[in-house]
Amino acid sequence: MAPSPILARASARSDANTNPALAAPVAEIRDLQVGFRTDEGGFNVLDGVSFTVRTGRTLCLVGESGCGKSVTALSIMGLLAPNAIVGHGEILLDGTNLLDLSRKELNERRGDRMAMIFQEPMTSLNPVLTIGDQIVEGIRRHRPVGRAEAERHAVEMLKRVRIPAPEQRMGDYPHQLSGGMRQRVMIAMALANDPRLLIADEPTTALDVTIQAQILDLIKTLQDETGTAVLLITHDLGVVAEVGDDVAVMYAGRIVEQASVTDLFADPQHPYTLGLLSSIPRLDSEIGRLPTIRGSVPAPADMPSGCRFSTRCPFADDHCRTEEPPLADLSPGHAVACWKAPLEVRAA
Amino acid sequence: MTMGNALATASPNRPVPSRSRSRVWRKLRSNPAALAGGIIVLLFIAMAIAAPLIAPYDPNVSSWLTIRKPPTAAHWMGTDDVGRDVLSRLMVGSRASLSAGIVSVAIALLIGVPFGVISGYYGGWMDAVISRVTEAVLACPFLILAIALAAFLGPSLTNAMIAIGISAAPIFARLARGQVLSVKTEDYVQGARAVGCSNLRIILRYILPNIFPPLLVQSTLTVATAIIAEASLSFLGLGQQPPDPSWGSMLNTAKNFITQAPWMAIWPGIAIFVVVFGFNILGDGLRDALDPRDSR
Repeated sequence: MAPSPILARASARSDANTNPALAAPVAEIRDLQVGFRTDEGGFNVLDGVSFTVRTGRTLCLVGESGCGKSVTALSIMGLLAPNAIVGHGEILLDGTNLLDLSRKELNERRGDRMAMIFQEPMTSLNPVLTIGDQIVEGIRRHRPVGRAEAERHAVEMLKRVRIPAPEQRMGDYPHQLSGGMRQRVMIAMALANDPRLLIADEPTTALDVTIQAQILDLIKTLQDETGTAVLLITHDLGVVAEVGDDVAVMYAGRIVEQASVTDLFADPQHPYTLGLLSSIPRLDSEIGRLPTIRGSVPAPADMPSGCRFSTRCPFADDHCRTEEPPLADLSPGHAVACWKAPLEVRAA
Repeated sequence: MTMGNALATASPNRPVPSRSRSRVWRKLRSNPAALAGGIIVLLFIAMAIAAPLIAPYDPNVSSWLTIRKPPTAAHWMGTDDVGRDVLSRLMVGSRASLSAGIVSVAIALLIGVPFGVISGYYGGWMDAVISRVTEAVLACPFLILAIALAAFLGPSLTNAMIAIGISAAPIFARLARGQVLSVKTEDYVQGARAVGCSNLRIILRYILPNIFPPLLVQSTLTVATAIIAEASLSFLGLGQQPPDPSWGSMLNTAKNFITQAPWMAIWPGIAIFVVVFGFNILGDGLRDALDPRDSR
């Protein structure tokens, strides 16, 4: 039997991820501004967000709830609520600006060139269709293959996400599977058409800890096999350390620091990043109560002038409160938006 | 080919929608009232299908020798004012009543569900227009509206069904709209968008199957209402036309002889009562059996 054309495409490109320097940009987000119109008026949720996701690399988007991580993901997929307005910016997928596409053209790319895994595996599958039907549907939506061929590919995908007895599972309904298994099915669906970009929005938040590690491991392994670019959204710096190559830290709709994972953990520069890192519990030291970042994220309709973090920042001065710091390169590949950078003292 | 075999072994035990059929059946079976309702409905449907074969006499042939005879061994339910066998007319008349119930609900579903789904799914001005029209129609009492429509369309069983169907459609439109509003925000609908499904595909594969259970329950209950409506229209002469029997038209004739020949009225009355009761308790049982909030 000839290998499935979809798999052949995957192996052809999987050599690019071995050398990060060669990694080609898959998705480039440039100066993206997204707002929402409500009865109380409009406000921006994303303001000038830019980043690049590269072949075979995982970019982690980190930040606390409400900072705009998910809105970024939904903007890329074109799944924003109807009252959302994209103010300006570009979302390039392989050089094509997704914001310029018609609904039909966008549908051609969703599930094919880009795919998404959601946070809640328990509710992300249609309860009335078998998982086989759902994977097959995604394949046939984008590939001119017959049902038998698509089913064969679906079984292959279930095998690749390590679901035992995939042939039997094809006929199962979602409620017959556990949360971890359903997330595997979601991953199988997302990767069935060998997308260039995989967006995973908190893919392990709803799972228990042992399953989390397995799922992250699986995403990593599959990425190594296929060379897919991954945009991983999380609030968990442990996850970042485990699977990330690059990190972008978001705060109140802006990216405040961007670096490779090693650089960020070794030499965090933005006070917010410092705060996040120091509020992780550690096994090797006894520090009593964990440090916290005082206050909470300002509401989008009520942004402070100047640096958005100034209201909570221990280092903030008048300059910070009046003028917004740009995201500037500190060293190659390490950018930070802070007037105080480079910081002279490291956080304890 | 190995894969083909594997798929072949996987498919035979492929159950039917979500709450697999066996679970619904188990819950239905453990509810004696629902089971009784189901049996009553099935018996009446069987009777309607077999009516021409099992009816002891021709329901439309009158006889001057057997006018208004009380129940006897020859005529178990007695005879009517022109000597026709009441049992035979009751059996054949069940066809009109049941088909009126089922066909008019089918019409109501065909009109109501698409409007409800469009209104709930797309929202905006379409929702506003459809919802206002639905509410306006619902403001008219169901039976009054059906009578008005039937009178407008002209007296015949088919027109009565259409009139009842149109009158019942807003109930389904409103129910479908509400269900769509809750289902369309589910993660799996977002997921379907993320794999590039078109709106039509999402409606057909993701929305409709998931709003089906409440629609099914409402349908069973509305069949009961529609049977009463058909009887009412036939009673008023707007439904089944003489000499063909229907339970409502039998009651219409019987009212003139209610003291001399009460059996003419009692039997069709009981038949309406029993079949409506059957549909109602079946509907209640289905509602419980299909409710996913119950133990899974």
